[in-house]
Amino acid sequence: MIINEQTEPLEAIIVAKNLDFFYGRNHALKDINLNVYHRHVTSFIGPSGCGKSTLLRTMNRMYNLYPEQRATGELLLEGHNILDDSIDVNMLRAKVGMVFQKPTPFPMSIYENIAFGVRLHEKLSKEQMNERVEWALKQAALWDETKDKLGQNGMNLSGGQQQRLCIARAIAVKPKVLLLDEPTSALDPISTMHIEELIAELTTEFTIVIVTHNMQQAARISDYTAYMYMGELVEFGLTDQIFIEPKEKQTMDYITGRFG
Amino acid sequence: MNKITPDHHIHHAFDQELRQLDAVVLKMCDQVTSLLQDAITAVTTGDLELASAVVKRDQEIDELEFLVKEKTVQILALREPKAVDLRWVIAALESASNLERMGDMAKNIAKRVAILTSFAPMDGIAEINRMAHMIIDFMEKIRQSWAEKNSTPALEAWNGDALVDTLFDALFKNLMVVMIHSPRNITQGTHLLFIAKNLERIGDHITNIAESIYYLETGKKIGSTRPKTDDHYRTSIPLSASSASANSASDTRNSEPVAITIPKGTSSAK
Repeated sequence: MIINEQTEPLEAIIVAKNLDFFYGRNHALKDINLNVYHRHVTSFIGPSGCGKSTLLRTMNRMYNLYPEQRATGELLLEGHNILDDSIDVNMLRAKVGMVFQKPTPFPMSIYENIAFGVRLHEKLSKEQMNERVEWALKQAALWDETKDKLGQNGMNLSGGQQQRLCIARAIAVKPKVLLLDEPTSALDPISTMHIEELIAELTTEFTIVIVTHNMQQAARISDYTAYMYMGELVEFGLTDQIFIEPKEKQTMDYITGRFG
Repeated sequence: MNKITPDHHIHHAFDQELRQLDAVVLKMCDQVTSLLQDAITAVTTGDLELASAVVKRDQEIDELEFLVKEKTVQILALREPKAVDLRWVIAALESASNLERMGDMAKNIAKRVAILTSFAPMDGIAEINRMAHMIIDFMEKIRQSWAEKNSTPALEAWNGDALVDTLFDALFKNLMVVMIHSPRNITQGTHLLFIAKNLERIGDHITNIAESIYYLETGKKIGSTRPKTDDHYRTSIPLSASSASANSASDTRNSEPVAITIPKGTSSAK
């Protein structure tokens, strides 16, 4: 695996060290060593089944729901190994939020979609909660479109708006890291552009990790790109370098659309 | 380093589009070389018909350049090329632009044949012929580099351009001396100077193409600085020196008479 030299001086918020992951007997991640840099966008690309979504899901221990799945090695979030049994998974997920491929608003009002998660972690006054909801909707570039209909059901929004609502819901609890699992693959091109623009704006406050099948999207929005293949991290570096001058032939073949 | 080819894209049509783009660039290389060869033959033999054909044929090169532009835009818009493919189309676009200018310069050389034939032959034509052959040799290296996607021959041309500059500087001084010594040579001398300058500029375009090919192959700028030898910008010949002899000149930097020598065997790139 090749790591671009220029990545080294940055502050890594997540560090994977010798990370392996198993779905039962299936060895899905093999000895992953990777840094996710603070307030930058890192994208994971690679063909289906390469392990990119699995790697994303280890970062907030989504796999905990399934007893046959396990991770070994170290996955450090601000220096603490989140794979430790002692980690409070609910607290972890407040620090590491996640947005999925299909928008998943709760069947409740726009306001409640955001307030619901905040109440689990913080006790806020009505006024503070109003401020938080407004802040989150503004961060998600959804405030102008929803400020006059906060009481309406979130399910009534368009697909792109629903996805921004999910992003607002994730950031309302003020996480450190936001994990996005193919967040625009169910959206039309204009909604996709809105989400991409939003991702760029969110890096002023958050660290973002995104899994995408759309290579141009990775090229457009991420600072760092990791190319994965068959559970291994083949190449990691600055996005410019990966898309203009990849070091590994496997990466070159994938991003130029050649069969390796 | 892996050999760069247009092959093995999942979309086979993309392989074909890169090949077609390549074919147009190579055709431009061939046509510019042929145009330059004919322009110089016309200068050395005074063949007006050939000179006139060169002027007309430049149009074909302009059309090929536009074809490269169209194909590049089409590939960028429809294929969204990345990495080596992206560098490939960018290098093709840059090279075509340089080749088009080189064609213009060959045409400009040919346009001067008519006036030159109305005078008796003058010293300097042989040196111009030498410069041209050196450049044609470099053009063949550029073509080979494009065809093979291997910058090694192009880098030889890139380094060799200093020799073209040296020849140009020497010829520049020589022609100035001849013109000062014998004002009736000023018309021919001036046209020969412009021909020499056009050749020198063609050499510069060759170095640009070499840089594009190197970028295509490596994704990098050529590391070293290109050797520069052209100092004709500072050349002046005092009348007193010229009247003494057409074979000596002085330089403004030291006002001492200096012998003019055109380097021998400078077409050593072969």
